[in-house]
Formats: sequence, C-alpha cells, structure tokens
Amino acid sequence: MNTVGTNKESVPARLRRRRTAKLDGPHPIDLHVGARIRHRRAIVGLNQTELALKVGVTFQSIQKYEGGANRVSASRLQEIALVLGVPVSHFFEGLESGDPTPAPATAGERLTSQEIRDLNVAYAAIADKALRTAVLHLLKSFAEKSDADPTALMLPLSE
Amino acid sequence: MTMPLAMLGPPSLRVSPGCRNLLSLAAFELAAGFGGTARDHLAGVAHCRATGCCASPRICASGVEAPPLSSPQVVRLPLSRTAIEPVAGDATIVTLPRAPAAERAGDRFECRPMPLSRLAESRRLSRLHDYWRELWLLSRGALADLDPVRLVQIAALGWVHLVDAGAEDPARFAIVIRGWRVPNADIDKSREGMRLGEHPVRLLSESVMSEYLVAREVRSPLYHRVRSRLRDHSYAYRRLILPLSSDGKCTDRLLVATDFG
Repeated sequence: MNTVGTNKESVPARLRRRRTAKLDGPHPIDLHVGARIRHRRAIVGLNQTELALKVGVTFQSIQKYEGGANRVSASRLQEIALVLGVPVSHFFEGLESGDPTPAPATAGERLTSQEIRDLNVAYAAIADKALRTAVLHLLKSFAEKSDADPTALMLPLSE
Repeated sequence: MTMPLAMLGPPSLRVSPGCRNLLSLAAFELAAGFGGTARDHLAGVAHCRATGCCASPRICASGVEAPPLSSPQVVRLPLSRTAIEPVAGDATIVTLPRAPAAERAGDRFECRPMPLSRLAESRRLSRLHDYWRELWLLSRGALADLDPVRLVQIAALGWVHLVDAGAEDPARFAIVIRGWRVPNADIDKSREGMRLGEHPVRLLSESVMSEYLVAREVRSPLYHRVRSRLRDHSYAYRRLILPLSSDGKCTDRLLVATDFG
C-alpha cells in the first residue's frame, strides 16, 4: 500500500512525530492565545517587562508566549488572566469551535448498540463451546485483517 | 495582513484622538507581525465608533493634549554636517546632492545635526532613545521585539513615523506608519504608503532622504534640530532617527520621532 501523500490517519503511530514549534511553526491556538494576551496587555497599559514582573517570569518569556513560540501552561495562563483582569476564557475568544470535519470514529464507535446486542445474543446462543471459540478466533482474524487492509474482508462477488 | 487597516480606512477627523492612538498601535502591531493583536485593536476602534464607548482608556488618554507648536519664527542655521562614525566597519555614508536653499519663495529647510548628549533636552526623545538601546542590544532592533505599549508609555505614539528603508534608492523609502500628531507643510500629501521620492515638497524630501539614508547606513541614532518654513508654515522641532530591522539582521526600518516642544 502506497503511503506517500496519505493523510495523518493512515500513517502508523510509530512513524508519526510530535509537532514542534521549531519545525512546524507556532500552533494556531498558541498564536491566538498569544495575540489575545498581547492585546489585553496593551489595553491594560502594561509593557512586557511589567507583566513579566507581576507574573514572575522573564520578559523574554512573555515575548515568546505572545509570539506563540512557547506554549503557556494552564497555571501561568491563570496568573496572566488574574493580572490582566479577565477570565481565562478571554484568551480563547474568537477561536473557531473546532475542526468542521469530525474525527473518524473508532472501531468501537462504529458499532451501534443494536449491533453489539445482536452479536452478543447470537454468540451466547451457540451451545458448543468449541464452536464459540472457533467463531471468536474467526472474528479476531477478521479484525486483524481489517486493521491492515479493509478490502481484505471484501469477498469477491462471484463467490 | 493589510485587510484590517484598509477595512477601517485612514484616520479621519471623525475618529477621536484616542481611537487614533489605538489605530496607531494596531499599525505598529501589524508592522511587528502581530496581525491577531492588530485585529483585536481594530475591533476596539470599531466598537468605539459604533457605541461611543472607549475600549482602551489608558491608550486613549496617552498624550491627548498635544504641545503647542513653536512660534513661526524662521532661524537660518548652517547646513554643515558633523562627521559621523559608522557603527560597522563596512558601512559607508552616501552623500546626496543637497536641495536648493529655496524651492518656493520664502521656503527654507535647515537641519542641524546635534550630539546625542543633547537628547536630554527632550524627555520624550531621550526616553525613546533609552528604549531603542534596550531593543538594539536585545535583537538589533528587530521589529518583532518592539513593544508598542512602550511607545504609549513614552508618550511617543502619534509622534513617530515608521519608515521602510529597505530599498537601495532612498527615493523609494516608504512611510509605513505616519505619526498622526506630526504637523506637515502639506498635511494631506505626506501619507502612509507614500514613497519619499513622491513627496511634493522637494526641499523637504531631499533632506529627509539624505538623513534617512545616513541613519540606515551607519546603523546609529541621528539627532537633529530642524527649522523650516514651507508653504507659509514655519516649524521648529527636534528629530531623532532610530534604525530598526524587519528581521533582526539587516537594518531596513527607521523609527523617526519628533518633538515640537
């Protein structure tokens, strides 16, 4: 299977690398929070050094927070919000609610409750323990093939 | 990136001085690369316009009362320039042909270089120079490190121009931000986005191009006393030109501050 140019979901977890500001640039949410901090700081009339002193960090840290180069921890954001006289939610205002395309459902989420119930009832109805075990193995082998290649489960139409 | 400012248009007389401060602040944020912050500032201006409710009393109250202009007395000073040592060994001073002494009957423009030790005579320029030194030591005057709030605290907002001095030809230097409080002989002619070579008052533009080019090449502050009579208006002011950088590496921006006090 060709993996070149495929989306993130198709890249195996072991091959994925962690997003870093250095390689990928600041995260859009960190940029947004930084811009909101900078805006609010200006409205309050504090310069970077004054805010840094009140929060207990260096002014370079404030610079990096505002530029999105460094991510602000939750506790630090709370301190900044206190100094600037706004709730923490102020810094997230204007952010879009999220990715408009929903994340792909996990295998468990794809099954409806009815499917699970039916499967359970049918499995329990097999009186022969050896047959139940065989069915379980069969299902597990299907599941493994499904992870590797979903088309492997498709039966030829001629059969 | 240019959308927010264009959306609101240039400052007009309908905008309160406070909003002009906020507009100026937004322009500096935009120049420094903080588009999100500029957008938030502009939203504050829009809110103020729509509701009449001030979004930023601290910024709006900064330096609202402009000092009166000096009396319209024209004093002729010698045009000689003192020698300026370049900061870097490879920097050179390019001398442009000086503008004629008079372009229009009665017009004069005289610019006298002053030592930086005399900066103390202007509190605003002196404080701005101190801040610039911090910035220069930090990152060679990178615009991204400029904190516009410091300009508010120094009461310099509205009195400073930001000039793009990246072009080889000083006639192509452009005014990125024009200090809205700075009076002008042709007040409607000098505008943001205009190149210096396009300025209609050649007497003024030739001198300014020359000084700006020197400031960029020597990468050092220049302090001048300027006295002029242009288009029947007389001005006397102190001017400080500070080199900045758009990327922290090459000097290609100038912060030009004036004090009419």
